[in-house]
Amino acid sequence: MSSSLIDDSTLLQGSQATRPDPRVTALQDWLCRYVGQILNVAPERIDPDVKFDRHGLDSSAAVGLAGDLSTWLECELDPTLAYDFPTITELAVELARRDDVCAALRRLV
Amino acid sequence: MMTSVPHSGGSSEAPEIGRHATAIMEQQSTVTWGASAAAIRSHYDVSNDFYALWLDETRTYSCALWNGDEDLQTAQARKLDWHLEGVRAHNVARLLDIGCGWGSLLRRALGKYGVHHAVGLSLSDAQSAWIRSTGLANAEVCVQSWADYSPIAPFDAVVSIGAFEHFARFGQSHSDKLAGYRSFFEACHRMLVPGGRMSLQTITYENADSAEFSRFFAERIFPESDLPHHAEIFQSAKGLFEVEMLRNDREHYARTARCWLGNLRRARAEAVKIVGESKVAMYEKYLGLLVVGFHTARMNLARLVLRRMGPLTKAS
Repeated sequence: MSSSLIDDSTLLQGSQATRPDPRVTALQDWLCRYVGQILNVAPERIDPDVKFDRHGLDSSAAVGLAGDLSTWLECELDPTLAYDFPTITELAVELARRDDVCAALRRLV
Repeated sequence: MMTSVPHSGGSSEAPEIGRHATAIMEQQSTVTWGASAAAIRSHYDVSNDFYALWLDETRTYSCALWNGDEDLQTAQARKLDWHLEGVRAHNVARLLDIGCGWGSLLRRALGKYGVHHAVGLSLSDAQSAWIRSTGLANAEVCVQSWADYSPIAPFDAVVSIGAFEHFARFGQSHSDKLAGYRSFFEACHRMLVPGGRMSLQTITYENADSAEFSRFFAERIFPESDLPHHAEIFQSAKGLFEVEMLRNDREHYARTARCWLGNLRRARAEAVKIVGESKVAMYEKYLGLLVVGFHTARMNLARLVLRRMGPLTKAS
């Protein structure tokens, strides 16, 4: 029983490594563009693993990000998101776990 | 609504930097002593109907006191009870509420606690007019600052919730700030019977100070106001009041502000009709910043019960 669980999770990790979750990618893309627009730089120059505050985003920007993201996804998102998940990648992975976000992404992407 | 929003389908369209995004703030306010009546009114007189959309039914506009899974109104009532129990309000003759808002504490004091006569001070015309319109018996509401108020008789209990945040002015010197707080505690000391209690609830700086305080707050939301540090409260009350109870409840304020923000978002169309798009966006940002500020411990929420001490004796 336990060995089959381990096998499943290994398989899952393997498949994620070769084929990234498209929902995470969609969220990362949106967030890179969003941060890029605030900083007035091209989205491809935004490192998704650099912390939001290192990008120069302050608390107002963090609140704005959560608000604009919730408008896009039509979900209630907490203003503290960018503090609890402080990089684009961490935030995208977290959001992609949520059912309401995934449902919204199916409509939007 | 979704048309201008980016997606991962290869569009070069930029994400919508929407109504929530940060903006560069203008203007430096003039600095003197405490927030002026005009500054207070700029926030609290926006529109009673607007506030009614996102506050609870009692229009209690301050941090609630939560206990488990319950609604905002229940948590607000518990907060009022904490203060009224703290000042031993049961059946007292006279109670003063400094910064009485829309009167929820006055109403509860006169009702559940059997207070004989309650006085509320407020600088907001809109709030005071609304309380009077509800015809609250045995209550008196004065549009007056504590600094100008002279009671006809002392009070048995004093409560002040969410007003102390306006007793110092953003940018004033540390000594002026302390002097302002000191004169507040001296006024409360004068107005209270010997041994009487006052309770105080205020936002404080925790892991931040005014130099880091968002200019958005200082200029757009609560113009002219600055927050206290805990030490400044203790220092300015020293010799006048002893601190019987202190609790810090920043997570309670994060939860309260989340409720308000959720209510405002759900009633957004109605809110825009009353105060316009830009004001609603400003309040969404303000409430979001409140959640973040308390969640990250930049700010805290202090609740204190203070007991009046005898006449001030000369310290060495």
